[in-house]
Amino acid sequence: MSEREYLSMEHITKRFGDFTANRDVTFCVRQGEVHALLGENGAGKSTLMNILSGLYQSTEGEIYINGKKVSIQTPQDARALGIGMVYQHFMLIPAMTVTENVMLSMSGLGPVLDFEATRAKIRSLSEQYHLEVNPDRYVRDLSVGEQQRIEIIKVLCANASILIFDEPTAVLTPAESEGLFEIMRLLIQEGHTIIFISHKLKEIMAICDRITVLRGGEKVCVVDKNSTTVEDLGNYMVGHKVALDRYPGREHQEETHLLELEGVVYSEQGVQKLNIDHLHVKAGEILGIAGVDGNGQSELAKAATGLIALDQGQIQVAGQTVTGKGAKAFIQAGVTHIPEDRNRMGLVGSMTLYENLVLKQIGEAPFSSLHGGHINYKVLHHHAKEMIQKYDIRTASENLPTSALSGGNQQKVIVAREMELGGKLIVAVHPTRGVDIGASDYIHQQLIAARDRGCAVLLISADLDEILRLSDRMAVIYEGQIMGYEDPENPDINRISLMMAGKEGPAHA
Amino acid sequence: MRKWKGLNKLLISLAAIVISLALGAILVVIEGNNPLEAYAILFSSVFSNQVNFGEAVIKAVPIAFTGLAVVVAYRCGTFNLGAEGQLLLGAAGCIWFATSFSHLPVPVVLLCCLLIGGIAGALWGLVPGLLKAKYGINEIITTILMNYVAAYLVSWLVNGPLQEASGHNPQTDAIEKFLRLPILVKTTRIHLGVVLLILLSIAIYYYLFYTAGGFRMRAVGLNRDAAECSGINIRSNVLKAMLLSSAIAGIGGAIEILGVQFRLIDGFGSGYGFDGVDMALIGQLQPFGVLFTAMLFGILRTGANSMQRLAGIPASVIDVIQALIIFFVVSAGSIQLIRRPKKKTGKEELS
Repeated sequence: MSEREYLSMEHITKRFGDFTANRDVTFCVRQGEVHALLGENGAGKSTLMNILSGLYQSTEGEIYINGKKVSIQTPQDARALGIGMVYQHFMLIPAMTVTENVMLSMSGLGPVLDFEATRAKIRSLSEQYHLEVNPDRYVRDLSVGEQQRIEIIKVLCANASILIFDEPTAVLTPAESEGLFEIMRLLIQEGHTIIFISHKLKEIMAICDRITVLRGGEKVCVVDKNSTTVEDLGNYMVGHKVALDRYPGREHQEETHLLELEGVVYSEQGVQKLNIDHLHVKAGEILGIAGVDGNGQSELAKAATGLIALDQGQIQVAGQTVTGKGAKAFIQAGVTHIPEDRNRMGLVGSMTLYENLVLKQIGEAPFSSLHGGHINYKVLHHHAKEMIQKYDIRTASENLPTSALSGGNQQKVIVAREMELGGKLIVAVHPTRGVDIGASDYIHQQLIAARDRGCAVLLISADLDEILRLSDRMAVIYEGQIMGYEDPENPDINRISLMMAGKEGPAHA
Repeated sequence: MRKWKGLNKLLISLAAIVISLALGAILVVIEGNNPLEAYAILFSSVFSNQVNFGEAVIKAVPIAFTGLAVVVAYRCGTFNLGAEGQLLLGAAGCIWFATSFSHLPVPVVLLCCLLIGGIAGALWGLVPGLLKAKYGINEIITTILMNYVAAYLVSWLVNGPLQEASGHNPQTDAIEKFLRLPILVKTTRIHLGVVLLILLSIAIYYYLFYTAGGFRMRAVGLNRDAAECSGINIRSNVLKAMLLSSAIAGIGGAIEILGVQFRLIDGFGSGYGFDGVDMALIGQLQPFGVLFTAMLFGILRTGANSMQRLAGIPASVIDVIQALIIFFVVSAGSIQLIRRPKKKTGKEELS
């Protein structure tokens, strides 16, 4: 590595069991630069930074600071080396004042606390970096932006020279983000070094000097801001490999809209998450929704399955208006759901396979008789054995709790349950995330087969390849809005990247 | 697997009981007595004497009811620490009806007493249930607070509107002799309520494990989000579980009045709610496990009185043993969790 590298993490590999979160990643930062660590969720950014901040130990690889090899075993080690993390989820106690919170994070306090010294230090840091923090206010009275600045003060009080910002703008309004960038520039002027974790391309271009891109746990490249573009970064991040083995498109065109969203608006705690003028999925087609994680995909899926109450707008499933009627009404109208988080939303982990397979139908014949008054366990076992065969679920027995299965087989249990419902619309969210290739292909085939039966499929995925391989039509979502549509058969990857970065405005398709 | 797991849990509880009795023996030694002798007195006094055995059963009944109440709520992921207040209200409702309408036919009065006991208990559980279901307010706190309200309410009732005609003591009049639950075994106080308790346990077991309603309730208790995604209404299930749970406690209160107490006295029911939590946890949240555990504690407490009388060993040793058992059962559960951490299955958890 060049002499100018201040921090270098070399050939870092981190494994969790059989899962490799970082594979041979080399990451170098120069003194006084803002260096972005770019990648999608699951690309291994946080793992790498957790290794640097001492929360994890790498399986292989070495870390050098100023050319000297260092060993970081604990967060205390990292702090002593001048590495400080500004967390995305603030670690503050609302019922305490700013001063008290800052003192909580300080080491080497005597038995008698010197509040005045800390207060003075906060004041001087606040002035120096234009942080505008009043040391005597209670954290509970502060805005999110102010809380973040306290986190920065905490790190500065520990004399950090390398500051890691973990997706700092995720919780900020655009104006607050701009303010944060100003603070970051001041920090750089004073000789600090900043690592900026993000997947927001525009921000990275606005503030960073160099960018290291991670994908699937591996380093893709390091680029200089001046020699790259937002489009290139998008390509690096999502991988520009276009799927070759596209599944054949649908044969017969149908015009019935099985899902229709009209003027859908949804906000959470004052932040708009979803704003969709119009979206429909026809019978016998797969509509793919591509986009960088966290741009309203979860909310779109929840809206389409009745799990959230909209602020505005109408949703129709198979011609039936189901707006605001709750998940049960959506299910009855024919919505099936392969949720984004199979452990949290898809399965009751401590229940057995045979129970999870009928989670939605337990009250119906033949699984129970007398209107749900008596569960027929024999039928449940029989049904489970059939499903295990039919959907190739690899398990020792139907009596195992689903938490004992591998991720791929858990996903197959969900797919089996949802397919057997015989619904009209399938909402599939990251259906193959964290699933091995065999199971992943199998799940794709099931989705295609459902489409060929005349199902409408809303496929939401952060994996662009998956979208391109499966979809009959595809759209890109950015900050809760549909930016535009692309032909998945002959996609313009550049245009997709632009839309994913929010650079090409909402389409009027 | 289910059977194996059930057996595993049974073993945990049995091991906890044995270890705790052994540790209790140390206390007995410190007190300067022979523990083997002490335990021999404890158990033989219960099993060799019909009257004492009957007392053990009588002691088991109310804590079995509150235990069942806790089980039903807990299966839906709700912690009902208010069984005591609900039992009290059930008892108050029962005594009011039994003393005011004793002229009606006996079976009608008894049925109404149980019904009103259940409804009164359920009403007491409705408040925390609604607060939890509608506003997500922590039921652990509200149910405990409702216990105090219940205790003072009953205290006022037995000093005011429901006070005995003579007006001497803070208690109600006793119910008529013909309204008392029939005794099942002569020379003991074992009453018809024991049969009702067993029937109720069977009904609860059936509901939880053989009906779609119970299945959904358990699904909510085990994974709220997955249940919601499956179209199961979380709020209505939480409310239902809370109402069912508190009705069970209320019926327990009514049966205690009709079978043993015959009148409501200020201070009645104290400790039954938390005993119920212990019964539920030691009984591994199984209805029949609760019956077994309650019976065990009925025996231990009855026997401990004999032990104190005959060997001079304080009966409070049993309280220590109860605390130890619950300690071991709960920590065994945690140790299992530590040994088998949640599997990380996907990249999403590592990003």
